[in-house]
Amino acid sequence: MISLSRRSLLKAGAAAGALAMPAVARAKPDHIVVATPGGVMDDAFEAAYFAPFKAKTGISVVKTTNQYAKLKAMVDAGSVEWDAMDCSGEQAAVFSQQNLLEPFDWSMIDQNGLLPGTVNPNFTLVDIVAGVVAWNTSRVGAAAAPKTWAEVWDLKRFQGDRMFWKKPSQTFEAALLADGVAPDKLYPLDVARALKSLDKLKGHISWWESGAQSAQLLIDGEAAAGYAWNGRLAGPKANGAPVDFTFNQAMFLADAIVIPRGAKNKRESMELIAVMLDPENQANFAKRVPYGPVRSKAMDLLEPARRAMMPTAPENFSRGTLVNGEWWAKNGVDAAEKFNSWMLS
Amino acid sequence: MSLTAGQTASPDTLPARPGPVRVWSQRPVYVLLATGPALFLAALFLLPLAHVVVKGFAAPASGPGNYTRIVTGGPYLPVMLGTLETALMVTAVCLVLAYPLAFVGSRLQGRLYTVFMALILIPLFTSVVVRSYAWMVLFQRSGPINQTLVTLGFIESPIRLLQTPFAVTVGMVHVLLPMMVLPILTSMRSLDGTLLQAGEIMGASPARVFVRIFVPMTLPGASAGIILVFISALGFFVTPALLGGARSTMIAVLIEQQAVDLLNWPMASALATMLLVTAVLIYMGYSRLTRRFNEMRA
Amino acid sequence: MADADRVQRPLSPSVRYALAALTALIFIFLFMPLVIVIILSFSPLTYLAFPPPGFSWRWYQSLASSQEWLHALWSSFKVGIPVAMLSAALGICSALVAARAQVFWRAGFAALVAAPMMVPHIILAIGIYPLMVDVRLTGTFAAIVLAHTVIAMPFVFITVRSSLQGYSPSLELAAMTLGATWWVSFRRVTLPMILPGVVVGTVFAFTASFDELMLSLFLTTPETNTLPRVIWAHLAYQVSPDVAAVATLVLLFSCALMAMPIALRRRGAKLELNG
Repeated sequence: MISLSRRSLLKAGAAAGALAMPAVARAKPDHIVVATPGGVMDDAFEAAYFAPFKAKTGISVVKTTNQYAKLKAMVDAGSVEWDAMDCSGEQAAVFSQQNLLEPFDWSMIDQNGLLPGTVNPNFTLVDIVAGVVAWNTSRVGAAAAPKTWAEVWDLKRFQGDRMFWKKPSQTFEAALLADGVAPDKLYPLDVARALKSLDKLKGHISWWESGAQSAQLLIDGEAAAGYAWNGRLAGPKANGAPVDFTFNQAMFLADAIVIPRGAKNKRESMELIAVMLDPENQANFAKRVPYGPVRSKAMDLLEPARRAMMPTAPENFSRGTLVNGEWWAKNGVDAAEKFNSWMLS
Repeated sequence: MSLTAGQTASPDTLPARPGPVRVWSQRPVYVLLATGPALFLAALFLLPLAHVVVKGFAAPASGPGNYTRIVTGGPYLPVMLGTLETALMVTAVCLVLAYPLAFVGSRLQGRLYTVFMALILIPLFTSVVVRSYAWMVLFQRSGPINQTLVTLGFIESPIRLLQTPFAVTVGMVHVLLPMMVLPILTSMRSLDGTLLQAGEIMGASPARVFVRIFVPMTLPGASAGIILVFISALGFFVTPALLGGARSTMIAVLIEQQAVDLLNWPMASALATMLLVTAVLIYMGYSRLTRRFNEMRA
Repeated sequence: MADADRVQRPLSPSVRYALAALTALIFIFLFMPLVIVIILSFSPLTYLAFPPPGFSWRWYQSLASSQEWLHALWSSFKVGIPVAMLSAALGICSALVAARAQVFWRAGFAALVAAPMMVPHIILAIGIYPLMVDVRLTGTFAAIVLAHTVIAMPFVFITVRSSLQGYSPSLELAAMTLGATWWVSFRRVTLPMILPGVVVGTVFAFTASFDELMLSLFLTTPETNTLPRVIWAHLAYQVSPDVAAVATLVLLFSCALMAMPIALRRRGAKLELNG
């Protein structure tokens, strides 16, 4: 191998770049910055995705907090500090609508056996979360345990507060399902009907602001039943907290990975995404956090007991509905206005 | 705080040399003193703020569309009113608790006074998010407060405390109380005791001395506390978000929702501008009121 | 303010007891949530349950093996202390102008200095971020220190202004008519009078920075993570007692900080309340 100093390589690269292809000539970075949600998710990302990525490419991943507004601020200011970000699928649709994302180079990724909806022009889904019917087992007996949203709405069935996210998203869906709307007829959402359905629970709702708070409300018995994300309950449930849930009538959401428009290391981010969609790594993630792989082959690598906990296990996935991020990206502002007005009424 | 008032306060200490000339010559000093903060705020506050305010008029269509939307319906004005109401309530509770507490503090000396100060200051160092979760534990139906109330027989079964205006008020008072106590305490401690003595020598009862001399003399501290608490309360986010229920939404929560979840920055900007204008108007009105009072007192 | 010079009248016993009871109640209120946090930090569970079913050091042990928290705490001090000092300097200047200058723009100036308190931090963050990009300061300590000073300075301003309003300017005028320069009169007369207000305002400024999240999210990098950022990230997924353990350690630290003047102060305690 001809020894070349890094500096002369860079010089040569700069010269080549000036001539033709800057992207190719750019020196490989020693790290990329990925914005992540924190907590257990960070640990799982690190172990299942970032460590194999480092082993494969030699590039380490620096994690930072995924503040959604900061992505827009960075893109608007033309100074993008992040190379990729984890966000909800709904949020990815909002970013996409505001033209804040880099288009994906899907040719770098094997698209076989990916869950429908995973592949998008400028984002990918990486795991599937289930928003579930959940209850506190010490407040609600086995016989009364709700299996549908209509049963959650039934105030005579068991006593105690019902809990929901203090946002219109997913709360409206649950309200409509409770009111008898067929899952495949949910979208476009009938907002007026959703609010009317929520009226029936007025005065009996505990609202949660953050996912961590939802688990806490249920564990404490402050709420008897309601809506929560499966990953937030699985840990406490396994550790003996009096909570349980069903995948029946679940709402499926996704974690998505996006690349901010103008990201410095787009190519490396795409390589990272390829690593994240690798079946083995997907399975390793699912072993740590009970969010379902989007790569069907990953499912085969899981123990049966673990597989049963996955939102994307066929027997679970068939019982719920996908939340339509597109609809929310288009109608989110109006829906929030109506929801907030209803909250005050 | 007029010049003549200052001179008549202690006429015999002033020599015959004319004061006003010197006072006028101080003006450049104050201009100089104002320059630093003014430049700092122009660059790091006004400029960024202008950047955001302009956005409020930029989309969805250029013009005051977001402002008409705020004024003509939706949750925005009711939330703003609710925010003012909560802030007033919190300020009132803080004042009622802080005044006697500061009075006690003002009579302590030596090591005991230092301990008192430490006890007021220590809670300030604990994260507001962490404190909100602690209140959630305390307020829940199976929590210590409900259990105590049931044991003591005040209530038959646990009641809803979380997600009520009560929970929000308590949580906010907890965060803001030191900001009311300390300015009042400093004004009480800098109070000239001879004035109180003079009042008594003139034959006034202790209660009368307290109401007519002590309270008015400590008003600058109280008014600083009121402003600090009220304005901080207007912008509160974490406590109402975690402890509040359906009707405790505060304006900062709406602004955050528009800015972060919906990425609707024009609306976030319009709401923030509305909040700022309201707060500045209240502040200036209040300053004028206290200044007039100070002048009357002088 | 020499304590001995102050004239105090003894209070009637009923007033004394009422005040003592009220004081005790308020301190119980102030410390109740902190006690809860301390108790939870010794929970053996991975989720919050009160009261905890046992006792365990596990969260402290896991803290000991993590550099993240210590680093974040250190970062918070590295930001908070310069913020407090800068805020004190700017806040004192502003307060002098607002309380003493006889100029027509006084009211407007006072409103300007207090205004940053009235703007939600997310809005400031959105506004300041592009500015920091333009001057190439993003990710530096300078950026976060400057931004925090904007929100912290009003605390010094308002407390110091009230101190200045607490006494009439006649003393300063006297000093100056006797021939002292403005600076000498400030240092010898004004500053000693307002010092308690300055200290209080500076502590407020420090804590405003110490618990600030939003500007930190925009302006710090992973290397300059402050404590509220790390707390936020840890509470994002699950409420776990590890955050309670961190809060307890910070509490312990602030107690130690507060105990220093007590230990240094040799004078004996004298409770005039019982006088």
